[in-house]
Amino acid sequence: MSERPEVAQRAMNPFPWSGVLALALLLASAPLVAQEDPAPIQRVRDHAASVLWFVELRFKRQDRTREDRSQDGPQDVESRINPYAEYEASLPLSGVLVDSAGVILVPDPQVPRERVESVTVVSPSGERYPGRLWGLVRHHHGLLVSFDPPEGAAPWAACEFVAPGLEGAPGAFDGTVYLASLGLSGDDPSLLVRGERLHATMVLEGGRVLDGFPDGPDISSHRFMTCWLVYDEAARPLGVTLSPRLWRDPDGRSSWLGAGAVLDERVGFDAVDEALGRAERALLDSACEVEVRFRRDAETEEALSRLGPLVGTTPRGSGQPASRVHLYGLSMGEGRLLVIADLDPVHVRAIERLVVKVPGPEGDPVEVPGRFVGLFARFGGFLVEYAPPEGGAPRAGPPAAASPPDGELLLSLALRHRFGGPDVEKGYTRLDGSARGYRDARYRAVLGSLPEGALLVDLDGAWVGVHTREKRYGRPVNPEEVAMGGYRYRSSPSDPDRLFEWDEVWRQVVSPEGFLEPDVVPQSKEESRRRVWFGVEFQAIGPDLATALKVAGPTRDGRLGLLVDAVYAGSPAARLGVQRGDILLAFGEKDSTPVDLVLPPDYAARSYYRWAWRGGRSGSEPRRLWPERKTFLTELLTRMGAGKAVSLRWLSAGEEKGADLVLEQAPPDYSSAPEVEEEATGLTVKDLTYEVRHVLALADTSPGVVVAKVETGSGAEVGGVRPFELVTAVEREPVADSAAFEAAIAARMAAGRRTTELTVVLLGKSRFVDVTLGRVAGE
Amino acid sequence: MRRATAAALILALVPTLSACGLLAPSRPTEGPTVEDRVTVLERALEAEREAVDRLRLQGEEGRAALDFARIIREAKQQVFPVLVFVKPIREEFRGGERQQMQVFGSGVVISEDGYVVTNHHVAEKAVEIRCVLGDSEEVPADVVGLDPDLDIALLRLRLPPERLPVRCAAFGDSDRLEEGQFVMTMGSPLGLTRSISFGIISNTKRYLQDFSEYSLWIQTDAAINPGNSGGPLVDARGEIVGINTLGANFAENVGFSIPSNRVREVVELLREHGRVERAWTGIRLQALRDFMRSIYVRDADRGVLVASVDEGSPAEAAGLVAGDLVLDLAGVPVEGTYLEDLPGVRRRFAALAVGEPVMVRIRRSGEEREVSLVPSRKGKVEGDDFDCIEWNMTVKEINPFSDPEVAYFRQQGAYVLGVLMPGNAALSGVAMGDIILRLGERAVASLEDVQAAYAELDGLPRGRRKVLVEVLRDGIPQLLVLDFNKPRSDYKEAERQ
Repeated sequence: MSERPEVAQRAMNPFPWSGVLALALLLASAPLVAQEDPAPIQRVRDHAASVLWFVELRFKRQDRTREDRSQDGPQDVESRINPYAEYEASLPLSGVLVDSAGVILVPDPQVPRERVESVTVVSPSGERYPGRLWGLVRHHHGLLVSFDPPEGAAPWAACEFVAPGLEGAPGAFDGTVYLASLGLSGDDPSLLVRGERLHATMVLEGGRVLDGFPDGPDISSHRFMTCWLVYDEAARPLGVTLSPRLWRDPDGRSSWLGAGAVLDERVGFDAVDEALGRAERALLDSACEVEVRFRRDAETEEALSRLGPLVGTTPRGSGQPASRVHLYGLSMGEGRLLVIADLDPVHVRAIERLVVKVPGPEGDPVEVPGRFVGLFARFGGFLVEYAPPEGGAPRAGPPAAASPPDGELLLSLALRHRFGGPDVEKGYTRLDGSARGYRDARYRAVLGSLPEGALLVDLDGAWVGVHTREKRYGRPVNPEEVAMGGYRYRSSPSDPDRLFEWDEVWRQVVSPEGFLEPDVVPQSKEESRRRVWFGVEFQAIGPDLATALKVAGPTRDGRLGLLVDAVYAGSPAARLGVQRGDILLAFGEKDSTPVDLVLPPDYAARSYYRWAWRGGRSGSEPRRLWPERKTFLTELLTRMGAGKAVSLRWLSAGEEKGADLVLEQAPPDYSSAPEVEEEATGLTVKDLTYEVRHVLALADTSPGVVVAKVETGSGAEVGGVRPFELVTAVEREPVADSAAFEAAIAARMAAGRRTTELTVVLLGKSRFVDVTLGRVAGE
Repeated sequence: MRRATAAALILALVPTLSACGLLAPSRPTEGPTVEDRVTVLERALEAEREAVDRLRLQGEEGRAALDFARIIREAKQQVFPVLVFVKPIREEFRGGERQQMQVFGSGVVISEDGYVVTNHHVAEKAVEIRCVLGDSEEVPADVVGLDPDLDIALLRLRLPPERLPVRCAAFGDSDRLEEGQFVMTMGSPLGLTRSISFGIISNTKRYLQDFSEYSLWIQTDAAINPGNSGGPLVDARGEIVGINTLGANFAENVGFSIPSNRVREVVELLREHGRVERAWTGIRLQALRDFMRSIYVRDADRGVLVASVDEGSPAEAAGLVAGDLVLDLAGVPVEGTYLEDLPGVRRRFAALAVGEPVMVRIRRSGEEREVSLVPSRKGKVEGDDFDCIEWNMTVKEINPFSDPEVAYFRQQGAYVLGVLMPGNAALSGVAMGDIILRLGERAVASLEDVQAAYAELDGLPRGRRKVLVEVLRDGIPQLLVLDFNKPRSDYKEAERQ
């Protein structure tokens, strides 16, 4: 999204800007000009005035329904056009007449052709003629507009360029050029001519532009898109440039064009459409639909709602649950698919099933199961493998031989799932210079914006790259985000999409080891709830408590640090000797800045409300008495990952201590422990996990299971067993855990028993409950 | 264990339920009309007549049974004059705020020296009680004794000696009641004093889970509404056979009275001692046949099942365990076959002499044996409150009978009954249900500790009024600083939590 600010400004304000600034600029350039021979610049002025034309585009006003809007192209194209459409204003462009038969070259505004209602050209003397969009320039981002000159001799001439040539070494010259462009001042055209002394414009290496020409002519004074005529010292027109850069490479390519070059490079719109059509077919041939089914539960619900329309959710009313998403994978050969979709690790962990629909020999897709291989760590995409039936889909590609130069016309294709099938959003774009990405990686910048996940293909059908989110993986964990529950591995929404060229992607696809996010694979519900733990219950501190405990300094008035309230036996904390009353200050990963344990300001209040709601006598229903083990700290450590070597700083009795440890997977807790559904009794039970034992003061060896759910109408419900009660014995024989409980009931069922007796315990008080065994499958 | 806040069943009427608010339109109009009831009764009367003929009942009783209009009139004449409209002013602390409210109930004069029986949940926490006698007179009354376990309170009218003896009503024999018998409820439903409703006895031995520790209930379809609490259930002879106590929400014609025999036992003790001393063993019982929950003890046909033994209790000390079958108590067989038997068994245990060993015969794993049980005193069944006014917080003594969940974590001490929101304690992070472990330097093991700490801390100058508090919240200790610099009057329009 390399949006040039001036373009955006124009879109927002279609009305011409005040003339004062233009005048000031003219005056500002005057001293420079004054030192030169005035004659060349006057000649430049006169010449430019005679060949620079305006082109006005008017757009169709559309009354679009909500559904139409949902199929919009890139948002910023719409936002650029809509003000013009709404106010019935014209988008003005200025360009140069390159053919007196009626062809004007203007910068390409990249607006969708179908939205253009009318094209009007305005001559230097002010005559207006209807025009039409005629074609694109292949190697430069220019648009060609044609019109029919009236009968009789045209009083104007096309621009005749001299043979290209600026003295000096290729690509670098030191001299004076004049740049002229046409703008609007008020409603009057104003010609802006600058004489610039250009020094060391570009340093070229291998045909790639490495350094920009940052001091290009200041065209922010022109509130619309324009091009620049380039004149040499002797006021001879050399060419026209469509971007505020001037360069020439050793192969003779330059950033300015002569007329001949322009017309030679013309690509008609029908040719563009044809190329798009071919590219679309090639893409559809090499793409397979990948249906992803997600596990829906309380935790994944929010993450799934963030998937958004870009990954092609099923249209409303289709009857399919929202937990099924249709994506498209590009065949990489041999049963490998690259899916360009920006998924979070949270999404990946919630994947329940992948189904790949491979195009069959007769065209009917064959469904085969897919295996999730990994989530790419650098860009928004993931890898899927499948067993290809009978050859599978043809490989996507071929890749472009070299990185295309700036300005080159490229086709963009974004494959989405719409209306039950694949739908390709087609468009075109250009590359424009390079930019620095994450960790200083250089990448090619794209002019304008592209839909997320768009593929770029050149006119010959060679694949240039994909446009997707660049993940800035490895940012230090932000504790506030963790506490807010919004921490995500992936890059934040502020990290931009960028073009990943095909060879960069291909390398990672062919040998993905080292390029995939570690430990991000689909997990079962229980697995996904496993945590990494330290083994403490903690609370926020706050200024009053910090003062009372005399730790205001090291805890920065209570803002930093977690006060340990309880330590679980056998935990990493217990082993390190952390005790109640200690204050945890920071966890540090190796080679990374330590994470200060700062709870968000309302963490304490939120906990309070949680407790307060649960507090008090709410009636005779048993309550869940043990704490939720998904806490700020366990979330933070889980994000860091089990097996990671970290160091801890903590405060104990006023003394700061440090220790190294390796993060451990937590034992199951009530939320993460597997549920054992025992159908005959109607009870769903869980083992007595560590925090339950701690709170209920039960020894490690004391038998029993916790009732998580009671099936309505079951023997257990009739007998009065309720959730959160414990079952400690079956017919007076203790049950150690949920497996033992299940076995005990199964044994009785096998013996043909119709009822059994359970010992149920609530708050230390037991009772005996007869439970009718029934409801086996099939009844 | 009954609690005054048993929302479904409370009948002490609070003045907000004023008569105009609750009358007619909100009450569903379906239900038997007077004509229907008359028809029913006439038919019943016909049956009675035939029964009487069959039995050849003679005399007063026979004649009375045949004239239901006279029944009502005569009973009314016996009891109406001694029906009391009880108006206590109850003082409660909610969130550190003293709150007084007027509640209404009913009662009946049961002795010539002006003793009045009513429900415990009518008279509890009363700072003042006024009783309206007949139509004509309001007399203050004092609480003589309270028995929360049975929900009975004994009051005494403050009458000058020249007014005595007063008319009183007599207790009947609730053990001889039969289903179908005519009864009347008298009292002040919705504050409408001196109201009579009549119906029959629906069930004489009703067991209500959590409400039948020491007594079963008489269920009647005579109307029992808020305001009837403490009033008499009167039979055809004009004798008090029950004290009306509970009504059922979302039901019609389902009300419950405490059988008069139970009331009588307790009234004597209240009169003597002001309270009822019961023994405690720590045994929880389970009937052999629970038809509500289809729980049946297979291998027993007599005795009662021990469901659980409390930790640290006399039963535990005696070596009893859950699953034991109690056969005899002090040589007398124990009947615990049905739910309805349980209150009787519990009464027997409660009547044991404190500190005196008693032999209990049990069966365990097929073998019979005897254990020696030494009961202890049951003591208080509900802890006292204490109002930490400046902290906008009320604490309560932990009591295993009234607060089993809190007592599970700490058997003794004090916990936060309520905090005013907003208020000093609430804004400092104190939550309802927190068990107080320390206040400043002082460890808290009783309500007195809280009171002492509060008194001491109240002396702190403004600007320094903070105390480090340690609480136990759901089994996990927490530290917080209670800041009470802000005077409580600053929290004007606050909601009660």
